[in-house]
Amino acid sequence: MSIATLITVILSVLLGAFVLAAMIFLIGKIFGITFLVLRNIFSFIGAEITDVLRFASSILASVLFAPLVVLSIVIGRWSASKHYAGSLMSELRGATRCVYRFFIGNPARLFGLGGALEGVERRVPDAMAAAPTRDKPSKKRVGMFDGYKIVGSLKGGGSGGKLYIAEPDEVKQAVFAKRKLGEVEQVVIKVFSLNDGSSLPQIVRESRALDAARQLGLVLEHEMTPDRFYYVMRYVPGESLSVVTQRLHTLSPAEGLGEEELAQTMNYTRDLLVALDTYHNAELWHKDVKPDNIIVDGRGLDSTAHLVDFGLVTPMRSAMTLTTHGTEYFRDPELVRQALRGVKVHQIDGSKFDVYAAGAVLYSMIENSFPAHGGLSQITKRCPEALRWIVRRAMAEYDRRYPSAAAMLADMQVVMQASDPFSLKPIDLPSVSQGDQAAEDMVDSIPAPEWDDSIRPDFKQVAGSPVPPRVQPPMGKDGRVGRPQTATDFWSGRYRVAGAPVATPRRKQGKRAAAPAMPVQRQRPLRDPSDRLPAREQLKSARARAHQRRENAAKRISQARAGRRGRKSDYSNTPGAAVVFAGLLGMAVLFAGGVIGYGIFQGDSFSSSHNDGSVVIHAPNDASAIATPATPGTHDVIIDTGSVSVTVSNHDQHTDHTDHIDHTHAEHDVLPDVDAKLLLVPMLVQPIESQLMHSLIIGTEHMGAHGVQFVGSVVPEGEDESSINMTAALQNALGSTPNDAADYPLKVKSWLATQPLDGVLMLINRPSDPEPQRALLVTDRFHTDIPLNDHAVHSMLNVLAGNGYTLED
Amino acid sequence: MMTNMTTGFIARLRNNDEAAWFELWETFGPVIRIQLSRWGRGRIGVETVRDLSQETLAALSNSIERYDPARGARFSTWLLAIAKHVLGDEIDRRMALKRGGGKANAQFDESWMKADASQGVDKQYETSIFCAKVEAAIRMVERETDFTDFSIYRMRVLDGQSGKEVAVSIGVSEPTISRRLAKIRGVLRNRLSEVITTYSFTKEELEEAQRNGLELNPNSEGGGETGPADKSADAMFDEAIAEIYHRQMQLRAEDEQALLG
Repeated sequence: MSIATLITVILSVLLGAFVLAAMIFLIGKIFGITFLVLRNIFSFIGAEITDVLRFASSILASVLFAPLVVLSIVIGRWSASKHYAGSLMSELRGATRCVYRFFIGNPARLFGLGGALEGVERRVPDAMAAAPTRDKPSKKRVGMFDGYKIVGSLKGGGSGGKLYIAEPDEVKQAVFAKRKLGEVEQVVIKVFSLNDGSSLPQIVRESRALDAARQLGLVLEHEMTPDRFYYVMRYVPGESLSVVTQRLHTLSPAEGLGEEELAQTMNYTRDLLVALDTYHNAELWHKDVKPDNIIVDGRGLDSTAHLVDFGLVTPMRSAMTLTTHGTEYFRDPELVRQALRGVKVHQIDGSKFDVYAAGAVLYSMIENSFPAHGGLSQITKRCPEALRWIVRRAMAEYDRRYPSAAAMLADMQVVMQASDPFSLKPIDLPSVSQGDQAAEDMVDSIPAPEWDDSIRPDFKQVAGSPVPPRVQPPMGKDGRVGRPQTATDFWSGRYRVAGAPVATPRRKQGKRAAAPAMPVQRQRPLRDPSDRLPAREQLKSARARAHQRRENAAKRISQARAGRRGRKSDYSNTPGAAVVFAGLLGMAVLFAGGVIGYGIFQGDSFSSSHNDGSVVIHAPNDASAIATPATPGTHDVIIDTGSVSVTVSNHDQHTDHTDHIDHTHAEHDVLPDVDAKLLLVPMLVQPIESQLMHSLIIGTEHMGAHGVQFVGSVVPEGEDESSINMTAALQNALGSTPNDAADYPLKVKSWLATQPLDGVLMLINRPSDPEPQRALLVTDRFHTDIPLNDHAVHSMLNVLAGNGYTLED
Repeated sequence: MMTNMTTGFIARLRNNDEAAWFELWETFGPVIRIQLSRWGRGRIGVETVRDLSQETLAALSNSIERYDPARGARFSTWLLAIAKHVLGDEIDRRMALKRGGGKANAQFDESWMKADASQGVDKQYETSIFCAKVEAAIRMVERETDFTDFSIYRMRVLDGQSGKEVAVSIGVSEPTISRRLAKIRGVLRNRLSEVITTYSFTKEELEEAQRNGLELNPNSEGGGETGPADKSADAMFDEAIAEIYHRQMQLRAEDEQALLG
């Protein structure tokens, strides 16, 4: 065989092998395609059959429901007819969907055109569901809210409240103008009505959140009646971020957001972070940050994102127990873990959970999906590396994520400013290269641009936007006071600094222009938009009043002590009080004499003795009940004529109620009037027996009747926001110090120095004590602890009076 | 064959330790949800699936008390049997309501305790359960390690970037990247070992990691010295982790989309 033949054979074999391989490949492909086609055909046939059956089923059910609707109307069962009508409509909707799928959906999927139907099947229903209802008010809704004309409604959220769009009448507009709230053309009224299915807990939760939201000026007004609760906020139409995100992805290539769309998502994230920073500076936690709660106002790069819905807004210093409210995928799982442990709100940093949610929102915008795996969720779409880092850092473990919205904002700002965000690396972000603190400071140190009034955003165009906060001197983190600022846009954080150079806003410079530094307002907004004094001034005034009161008391005490040399009694330096006291003393002596005489006359167990001028009377229960609140056991009534004091002690209970009480002051059965403002902190182990609770309520009422002003209450319903906040702050200051520790009252005292209070009354348990339930009374002058028994009120009022907390003359 | 960790975890569940229940829910809740939606597709809605998956875990509390480890059921079978029972119960309840009758809830069938192939456990479900265990281990590592260290591991292994790219991104040298990778890998091996031990009832389940290319103790035979063999084992381990992670993400994404759509 020649070489040529051999080569020919080899080439033939190779060619044959190649042809064979090609044929196998082609056959494989043909089989694959055939299998795919067959699978699609069978799926199509299956789907068509299913839809036909479902259509038949829906029609059959509709035929059954229709007479039920008519019958219910005929016999006057309106609720039942409404119920059946709802079911009928549901069945008809199902039938319509079957028809659509049978003729359009399934055939389109058979030919691989499923993606083309996405707009019809997903975005259109979402947009329709979120659309406002008719603008013309129904007769039923006219006059529903005084001063407002209902012009439409919005789809309610998960909270169960109903949302109406309304226009305030002239009177209301005048009121808003007087309150310097600007022009309010349309508002949203959120109403919870017991008649419409809202539950009392919902109403309570919303009204609690309202108190917090009012601090930010989010609410224009509110009203609570026995059967409903509503509040009013500004309204501007807009789309939710979830709808906008879908549209952005529709406009973008399949691999991810286009350049302009990416810039838009970064703008929205920036707006969100500025809003969150404002919340957090006001020590509020939004708690429900998600795309559906972000309204986008406008289109394109000029659009603005607004964070709305404050149904779950919570003060960060609240003493309430943490709840798991929130929305899955946008709620950090750590929140659930902490809630399961029974942690209180003030024991965690709520702002970090908002930061997590902000990261999840950014993820959802990039991916057009939700982060099903939390921090481990994969970013599959086209996205700058630095932005990817920001999402992951925001959604990292609680201790490792951004410490604040401001730090995240600083990183976001750098990405927005970059000429090519895709060229940025994580090391270029300030939080990575310089640390979190430097990133936060960067936001703080950015000079504030001044916004020209001509380009000042119109507040009426801001959906649910709050009132701009009143002018306050800006305060940095170090407490230094800077130049006065005037906020010009609450949501974006824009403000004008007196004397600052005029800067042009970024959005007027074109889409890729370098963004100016983010103006973030680092000051706390006002607690109340009304014209009352700022909190700082109120606190200062309260401290001045307290100081003046203490000085007066100290003066009186020193005068009384000076006058004691010439008088037997230091009780009073006024004739009226002296007369009253003399009368009381006379009554006490007469009473003692009567009791002794009665004892002698009856030959009973009464006895008396004289010890250095004092008279000791042993009396049985029935007699002691005359002089003291009814207590079981034998009592000693000691009348000390030397120091003019009456002491009652109970042998059976082996207690000495005169502990810690200044015996140089009069003690008697008439409760003294005092003047003291006390924080009431009930810390008794739950559950509290009903009898004890009743005694506590009565006791605090008695103390209140004698001049003690309580902040807080022994019953949870009586707690208000300020008492909860104060209690939380106190518990923060005390940390884990046990209440029987020597420095416990000292810690309370040092905390008290910063508060506009005279003292703290803590109801505590000391298991080691024979009488474990005790009242710990701490003021800046003394501290005492008293067992919670029938004498507690008497003792506390006496000790307060004895230490100068008396009414001014 | 149950280890101390498994029995310890079950003891926590029996003692109503809420953290243990949440851990179980966080790890396997999505798998159960996916399984329920696959079974009940067309008959039960999204919200019902969510409710049922929670009821499944609630039903565990009773079955745990009666669990007999001697009968050889797998952990995954255990979960599946309970999920099936809960779903069946729901369907029965609906049928009873339709008939207007008061049919009692179904009695829990304990035949699942037997090591039996007829339980209807399919491969996709088993894969989901194993992937969920690996994901739980990765999540534990994410919680306890430094963010930058974990990000390096994520970028290098899970995102598939080269060592040089990661070094440039983070602003550190390549040897530093290698050291930090080794550190995270070590922690991940430990956590993986813990998770698999905790959620495995049988020896077969315990060996599942090795079957999927996850060598949890590469130095056990080599005396602890690092050599080419170890590097090879590390590379295989990383590769297997990445593959499982991506498979899990894919599975979850598909099922979540189906659930929503």
